[in-house]
Amino acid sequence: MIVSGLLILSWIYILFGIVGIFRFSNMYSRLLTSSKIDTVASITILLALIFYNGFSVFSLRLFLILIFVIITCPISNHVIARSAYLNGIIIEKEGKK
Amino acid sequence: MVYIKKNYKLFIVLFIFWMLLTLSFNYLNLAAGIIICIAVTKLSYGIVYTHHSFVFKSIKISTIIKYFIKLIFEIYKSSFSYMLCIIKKDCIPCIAEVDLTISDPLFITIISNSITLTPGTMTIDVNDNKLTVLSLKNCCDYELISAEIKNKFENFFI
Repeated sequence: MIVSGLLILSWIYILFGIVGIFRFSNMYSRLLTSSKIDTVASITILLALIFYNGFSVFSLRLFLILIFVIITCPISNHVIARSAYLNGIIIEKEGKK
Repeated sequence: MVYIKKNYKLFIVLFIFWMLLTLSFNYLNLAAGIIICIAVTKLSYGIVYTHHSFVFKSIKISTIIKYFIKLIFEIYKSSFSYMLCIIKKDCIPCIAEVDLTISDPLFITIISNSITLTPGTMTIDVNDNKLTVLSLKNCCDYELISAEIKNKFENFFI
């Protein structure tokens, strides 16, 4: 039950992430939305898999992967956003062209 | 090799991580693990440790666990508000500068990583203890963004 709920939740996050990428017009908003899939959806999937396997060695490995994901995931998004900001890409309000 | 002998703690932590992930006691796997862990330990010289000791102050395990739980809670809390943002499409991306009171590089890294992990906010740049944060909210209030980040993450380490 918990596993199914978490997996459904992760799919909802992925769905909203994809919708957000197409819905927003600004580069920064799209980047923030794509980073949501990277972090929240992947964390939820890993938590679901940990609950599915219960208390086992495989769960410990999944937990280590979860920690690794939490530490390394923000770096790629940060590098993309930083390069866009330093290259002078302007921040526009959503819906305005 | 001298530095590795002096700073064997990092090597041990990396090797335990390697063994837990692979869970194989083949000679080849052990040798590969040792070689990679030595290489990483050697490359980390000057970044993680110097010839005296570790660059960063160690954090209590209880603090890390508490912070991890709080971080997961904050991630899920802001993910729901961000979903509303996507549905309504009335959010404004804005860049705010946040002056942190703490100056430890490890804590600044943890805070900036946590900001990027939280949906709707992202750290763009770090200069000493000044963070440049990209935020996607209903209103572009710089002081509100700064206060929110300080309350959520910085107060935990003070």
